[in-house]
Amino acid sequence: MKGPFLRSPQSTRGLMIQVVAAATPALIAAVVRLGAPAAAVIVSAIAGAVAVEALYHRRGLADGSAVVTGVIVALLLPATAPPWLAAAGGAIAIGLGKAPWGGLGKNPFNPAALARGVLMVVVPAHLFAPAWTWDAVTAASPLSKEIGATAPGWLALAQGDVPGCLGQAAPWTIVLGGVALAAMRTIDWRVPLAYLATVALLAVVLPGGDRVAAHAPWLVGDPLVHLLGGGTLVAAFFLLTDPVTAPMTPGARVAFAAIAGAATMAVRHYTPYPDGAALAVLLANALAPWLDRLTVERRVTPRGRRAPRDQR
Amino acid sequence: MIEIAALDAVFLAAAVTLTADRRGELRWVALVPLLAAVAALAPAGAYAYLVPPVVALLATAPPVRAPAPALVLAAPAYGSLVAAVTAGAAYLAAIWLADGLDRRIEQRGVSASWRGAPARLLVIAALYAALQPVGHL
Repeated sequence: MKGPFLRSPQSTRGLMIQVVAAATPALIAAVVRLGAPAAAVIVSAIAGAVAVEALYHRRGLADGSAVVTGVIVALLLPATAPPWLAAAGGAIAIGLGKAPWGGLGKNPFNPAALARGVLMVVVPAHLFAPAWTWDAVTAASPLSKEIGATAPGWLALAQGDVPGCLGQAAPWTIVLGGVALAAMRTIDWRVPLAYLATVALLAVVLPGGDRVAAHAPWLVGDPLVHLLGGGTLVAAFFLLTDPVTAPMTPGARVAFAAIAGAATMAVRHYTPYPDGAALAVLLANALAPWLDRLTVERRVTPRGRRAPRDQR
Repeated sequence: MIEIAALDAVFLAAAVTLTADRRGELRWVALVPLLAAVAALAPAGAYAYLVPPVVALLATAPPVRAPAPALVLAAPAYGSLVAAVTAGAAYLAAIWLADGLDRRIEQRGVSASWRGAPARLLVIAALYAALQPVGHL
């Protein structure tokens, strides 16, 4: 007998269409607010992902997963990113994050988060510029800890009137898309809830590092800045909810999201990096097998019959 | 001495370990940063020039099956004993995380050109990217 034994009426293509539909309001809002550069980033990221997918697996073109990856990569990039960088991001996501592992459903890391991580190492200047030109005014990222950083207003954050990635241009559209995905049970609602709750809690209780204390004291004790700023919402609803790279059980997924939230806040409070949401997702992905071993193995192995450590 | 940051050395050593046929004594390799940091504190005076080769010998002799990662971990100038211990722990953690992911990856699904050592290197590269901010802690 060959599996799978459980079949879902939902097709992969259907799931991908749902994710793209959920991200569409955020993409439209980014283009409306930021104009042609945002559109160029979106088109380039999708083109890069689709082109590399076509080289490796043509099946990925039919199920739409390459388009989803390109869309999420675009949401993680600033509108100031040149089109070649966005195309490289899409290509890296598929070329290193998905295709080498055997394609859809077999990758250990979230491809979009991996692409963002690689770009942060290779071309940090494009992603970590201390200031972006925004509506013809040069302003610092809301999570910046550089000298001269200014406190962002809540209204400005909520309306997306701050520089950052495309997913930050209209935060409510990301929430709207995420809630729709949760309502359709495409994603596990516990994951974004646990992640956002951890970020909010640590924003309140965690003391800031020296750099935060000196240049951006408003980052301490203000959960809204951390929830609406950076890639928090994109990570919560579109990265951590990837079922392939998350643990299997609900409890493990909550722990997985909490670990990502803690890592995000550690980066923001104690390192010079303005944001670490995508890196936190990669770290949580790396811990997913360990969380599975802790939870799934306990469920399937009767008490007292655990395999010796060296045989696991 | 080669100038290399501690985080870079940790992941370079982990990459060498993960692609080697035999891993050698990981626990000894993880102690090498502490050995290097202690040696750097020693009042060698006029014989300071002897410290690096002695450290290299001490680092690579006991883990005979894993001299390369031990030598890489001996190279950075660790700022303190705590930094050295953290580097050793980070090395073990990187190996542990990569091994966990290796079990999760379906080797049959991995394309032929990536199977084995290249896939492990890719995992280590992803962990290196993810843990970049740790270098600034």
